[in-house]
Amino acid sequence: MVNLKLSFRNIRGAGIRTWLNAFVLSIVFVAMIGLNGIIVGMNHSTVNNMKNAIYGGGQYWHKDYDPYDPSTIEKSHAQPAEEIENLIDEGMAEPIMIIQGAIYPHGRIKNILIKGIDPEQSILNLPVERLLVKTDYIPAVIGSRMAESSQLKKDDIVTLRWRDKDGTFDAADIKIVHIMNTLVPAVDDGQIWIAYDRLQSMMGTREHATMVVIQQDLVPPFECAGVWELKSLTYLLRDLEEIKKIQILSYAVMYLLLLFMALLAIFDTQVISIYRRKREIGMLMALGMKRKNVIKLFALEGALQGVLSLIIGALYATPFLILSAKNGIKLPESAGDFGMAISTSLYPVYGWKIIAGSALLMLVSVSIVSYFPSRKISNIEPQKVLAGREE
Amino acid sequence: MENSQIIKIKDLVKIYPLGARKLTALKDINLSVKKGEFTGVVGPSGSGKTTLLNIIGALDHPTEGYAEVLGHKIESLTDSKAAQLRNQNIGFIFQSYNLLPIYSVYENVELPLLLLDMDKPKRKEMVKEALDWLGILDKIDSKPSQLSGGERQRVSVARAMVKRPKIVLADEPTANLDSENAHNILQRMQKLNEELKTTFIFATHDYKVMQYLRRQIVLKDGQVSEDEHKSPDN
Repeated sequence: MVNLKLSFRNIRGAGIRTWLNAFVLSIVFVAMIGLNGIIVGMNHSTVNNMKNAIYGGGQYWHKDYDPYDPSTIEKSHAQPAEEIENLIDEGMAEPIMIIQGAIYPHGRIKNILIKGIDPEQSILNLPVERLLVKTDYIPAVIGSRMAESSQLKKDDIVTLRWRDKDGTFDAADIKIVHIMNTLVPAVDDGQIWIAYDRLQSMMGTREHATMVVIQQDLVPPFECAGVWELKSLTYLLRDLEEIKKIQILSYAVMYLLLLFMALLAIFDTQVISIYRRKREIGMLMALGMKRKNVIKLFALEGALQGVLSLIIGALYATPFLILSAKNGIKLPESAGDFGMAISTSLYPVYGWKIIAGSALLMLVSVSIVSYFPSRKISNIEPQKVLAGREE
Repeated sequence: MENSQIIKIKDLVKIYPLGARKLTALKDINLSVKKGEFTGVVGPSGSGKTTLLNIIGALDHPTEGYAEVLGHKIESLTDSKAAQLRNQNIGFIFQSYNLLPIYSVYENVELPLLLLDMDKPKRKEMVKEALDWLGILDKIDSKPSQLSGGERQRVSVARAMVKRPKIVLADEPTANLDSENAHNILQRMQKLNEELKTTFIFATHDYKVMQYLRRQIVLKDGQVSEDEHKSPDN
């Protein structure tokens, strides 16, 4: 208690030095929380966008379907099993058929995936209702990345070629009725969206699907049904999880660098402080303070600067953090080109775990860094420093 | 109890290593001090006065011999026990005051009481009383930098006296003071000695201090060359 009282008194008395140290530490503390919040927010936003655009609450895949093996696509469609049909009929799932094809924009061939989806579906957040437009051609919706890579614009007409269920090549003109600005490359790059029924007639199939997307808040009711296998969200998001791990690692390096620089400042201040306050240390010992208590006092002063930095950080950063979490941080237009489904506004997520964890990490590190130089006090001989004989 | 010996020193030797050489700071010191004495260890610079005071104050250990302060054998005291002895029984007054510049006068004087873990109202009362004894109660909220040399030394005396120690060790307390301030301080210390029966031991070569001493232990080259008791009238 005496040490606490004295360390309060000392850091108050140190004036500007205390405030400067605490301010520098507070910047690191806020940066740690801010960066962490941005990462969590980014991942949160990516997962939500992926779920909204394509993953839903999980998917049932035809057992032969392998998105990484184009040779499987031709044969990996069938009528959904009865249990899945029931979900579709109740509006809790949406079938999507995927086939291979090619388009010929500006005289060049471009291999693509043709995806058929019900234009009136409400499970995925895709602007496919635009496919309901009346036109002499097959209406098609593409994403902005696809539009850029194939140099297609809205209302362009382009020839589409595909093979029907019997393997016969067929072709027709499609009209680009809408170019969607989607955040999710998985529904954009190298693919066109046309109406589900139109694709069935083009293929000569009846209610075939490659995958069935389940409504987001629905827990998938069964693991498999006939040739259909459940792909849970955990499975679908596994690549994203890997990216997250790499992100966390790279940001951890950044935290450590930030923390290291701040701790170096504290260490330096402590060393200088002990050197400058040798007479005070000797005087405290002469007054009867035990050596270990003098060490504790100096270590506590450092730790209190850590506490002060948390208070200062909380004071100036709380409004900023709340505002950024509420209104989001505007990202440049090119942010989506990083390959992740990031919105143009990023909403950081500041959880209590992040805040408490960063505060604890800061306090523990500052206390340790303050303690180490303080151990030098154990070598001080009070009679020498009081007589000014020890430098 | 009034005349009981509170400090007993026998065949005390203190040697400091100086590289390959050794410096004998004190040699064959034999003396005792009774409760309530107003005594001084006098001698020129380098005669071993401060070393002797440091050993009595448990800030240093003898190399050989025996030193007992208030029943504690200094040579066998642990660091922690020595701190406890100083905390409870010994007050220090230094030539350069050693006040903490960031503390107010009140906080500087309160420090020894805080180390005794005394409660706040009691501390406040005792600090005010000590400042009153030394005539600097009006400076209670000042910082040391706002005080004159004499006032600073009075704060230093108040800090040494506030816990009512049994022994006060004063190392050249008037060295940085002018004649008027020196006499003022010494008169106040003499008064405290008479009223509280605190034992004062000075290390000095200042004639002004010697005038007030009732006993002078003269050190020469680390040895007691004279131990003179003066009558109160002198």
